[in-house]
Amino acid sequence: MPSRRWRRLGAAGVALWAAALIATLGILVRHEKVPAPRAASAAEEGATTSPAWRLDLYAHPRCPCTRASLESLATLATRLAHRDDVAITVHYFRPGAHADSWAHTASWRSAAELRGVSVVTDPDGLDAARVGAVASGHVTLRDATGAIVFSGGITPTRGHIGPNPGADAVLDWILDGRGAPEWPAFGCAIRNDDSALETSR
Amino acid sequence: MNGSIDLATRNRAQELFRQDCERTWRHTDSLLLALLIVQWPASIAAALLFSPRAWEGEVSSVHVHVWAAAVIGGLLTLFPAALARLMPGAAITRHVLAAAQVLYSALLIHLTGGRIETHFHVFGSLAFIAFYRDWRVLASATAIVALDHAIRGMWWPRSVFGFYSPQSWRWLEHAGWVVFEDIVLMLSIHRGLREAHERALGGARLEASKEAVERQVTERTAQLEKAREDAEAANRAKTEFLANMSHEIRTPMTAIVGFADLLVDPSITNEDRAEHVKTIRRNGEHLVSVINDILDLSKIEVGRMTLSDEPCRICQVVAEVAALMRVRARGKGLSLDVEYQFPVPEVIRADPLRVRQILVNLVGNAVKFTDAGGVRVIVRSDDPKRTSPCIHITVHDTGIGMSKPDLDRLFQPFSQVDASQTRRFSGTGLGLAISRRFARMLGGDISVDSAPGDGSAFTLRIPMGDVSGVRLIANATEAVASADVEAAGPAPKLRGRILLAEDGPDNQRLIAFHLKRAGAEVEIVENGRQALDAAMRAAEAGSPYGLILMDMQMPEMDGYSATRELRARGCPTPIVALTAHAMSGDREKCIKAGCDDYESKPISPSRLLHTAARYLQRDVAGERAASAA
Repeated sequence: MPSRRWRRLGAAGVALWAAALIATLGILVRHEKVPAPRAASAAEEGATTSPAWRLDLYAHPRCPCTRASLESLATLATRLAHRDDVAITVHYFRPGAHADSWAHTASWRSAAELRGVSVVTDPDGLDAARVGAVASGHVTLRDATGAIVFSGGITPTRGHIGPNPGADAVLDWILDGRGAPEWPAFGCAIRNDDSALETSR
Repeated sequence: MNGSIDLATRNRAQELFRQDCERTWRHTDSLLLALLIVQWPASIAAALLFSPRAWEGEVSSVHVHVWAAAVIGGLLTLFPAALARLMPGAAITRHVLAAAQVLYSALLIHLTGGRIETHFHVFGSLAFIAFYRDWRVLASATAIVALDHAIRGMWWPRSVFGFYSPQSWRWLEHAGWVVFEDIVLMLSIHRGLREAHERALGGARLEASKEAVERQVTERTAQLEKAREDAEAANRAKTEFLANMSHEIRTPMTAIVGFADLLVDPSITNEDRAEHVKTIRRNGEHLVSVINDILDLSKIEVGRMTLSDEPCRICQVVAEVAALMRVRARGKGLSLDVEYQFPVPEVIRADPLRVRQILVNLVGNAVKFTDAGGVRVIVRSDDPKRTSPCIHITVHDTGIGMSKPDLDRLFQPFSQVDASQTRRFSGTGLGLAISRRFARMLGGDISVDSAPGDGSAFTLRIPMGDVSGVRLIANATEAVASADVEAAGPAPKLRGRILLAEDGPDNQRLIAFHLKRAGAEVEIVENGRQALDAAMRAAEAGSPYGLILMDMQMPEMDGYSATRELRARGCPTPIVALTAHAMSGDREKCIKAGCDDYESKPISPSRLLHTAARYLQRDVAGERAASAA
């Protein structure tokens, strides 16, 4: 049976320990709930395209957090499978100096297996930069006019899926014709050269 | 069952149960700590597997999950490890280790992105925590799991519920399954605790039984050891005693046999012959006293010694002893005086024979161990009105005295003060032991006060019994009158016929010699049958014997049977029993058989002649009365 002194020390230690744990977990949670910075999107494509809705997801092929975005995308794809007026494309970043194989990762293969989803490479992330996508998992939804009606993430936090306003907004736009215009995107940075983004503007 | 458990056993069972719990807690602390230590690198490995690096374009860095696994894993391992090291088995240690273990579940679930398989870690952890057999620890761990599910379900529902958009209460369902497991585990804990209680109780009972057996064995061993030591001591004492007895018996026997041989030498003078006879007699008397001591002690030892309770003239007993011992004292040039501190009751209730024997021993010892000076016998009594009044007879001597160790061994049977003194003063070493036994059987005791060179004072204390109405002797004159000691005078003259029934030729000759020399007419027969026939013939012839001296141990018909038969046939002749039996009850046995009196062997000629004279005079007086009539 420990002495009173030891019990007091133990209780103080437990309090410090709990505080340290909470602080560390807080840092982790904060990291996962802090969205990527917003970037200005490029000029909208003027021409009407077919089909009526274009859903593009910009991703880094090696970002582990993107798994959640792909799962969320898979859910959306399933929900929209009956709609033939929706085109879904995943744009995987590839450094310009590398071949496409650099982007052919497990994430790529997962995306490629999704029904109704096209996968393309995005050399140097120029496409992403053009629409202002900074974080891997950033989604843009364009209407029939080519205007981006929604821009943002489709996960509640970084690397985790779950109900979130971003995914809901995408569905709202496609099913109801209106919805929220944005939601924070969570994930690794697609590009490491912000200047490229500035250039693309 | 529990009612039969004594408090000590119950307390011991509780102590054993507590020790068992503490062992379990410490052991589970170690197990959980080992698990935590393993889980730390495992969580880092999981982070490296699932989220090894974070990317920015083509530049990567270590993913924050890896750092989280390292830092949080370290927190979840190091602090509990410190507690397990510093406070093993303590409640706080148990709770912290359990909390760390379920927090590891949360960490791993998080690091694996909520893989459903990782949730099994929660159930495994709770089962592990149940090893503590402490429902409180299980409850605190479960609370943390529930809290984690609530928070995680709110922020990352997929990692908890496995699908996209659960209802808000689904965390309760998950917690419910955890509680279900807890119920199963608590039942197991309850059973484990019950078994531990039973084991502790069994252990306590076993210990109690073992202790009782060990205690008994120790006691028995001590008893056996003491018995062995006592037996060895007794054996040594008896061996010494036998050696002394051998010496004490052989010494006078040597003198008796040797001087008896000298008597038959025709060339010795009458003076030498008389001296030889005195020597033989003195040694014979000593031999008798040795044998009497042995017999007395043996009777006491077997509990067959009974003392009479009859009127005892204490002044007479003291005077007789003084008269008896004064000759020996004078022979050594010592004085022997009797003093009374009056008043003293004339008669008390006691066994006069044994009181006399005790005093003979005490005064005899005083004379024996005193070389110069004298012996004083002081008689005093308690106030007869007080409760249990006693007579105190103190024998003072101016002898060699004794040391304290000698006093401690003084009254032990078969013990003598020391071998050298035994040799110097002779004696069996039984006298004082027997005297004290007699004194205690009389309800009193013997005490002694002595110092080397200062002489000794032995005090006999015996209860006086009921002396109400007894005359108190107030002065020396009354004391002397009360003593009424028979003056040692010439042997009485006998007139009349005596029938001596005795089977031993030597005794026949000896007894007949003394009787005839005193003037009696003696006829001798060899057994009870002949005695019966002779007595009846004489009676029928009209000339009955004046006295029959009947040996009680004879062939063909013993003295008891012959006496009974004579009395049955109406023979009125006085019969005095002669017997070598000195055992208690012999006198009563003889009287009961029909004898008038009793003389023990070896025969004292003086006593025998006085006894014979008493009965023959009674017979003569009867004849005179008949003639006158």
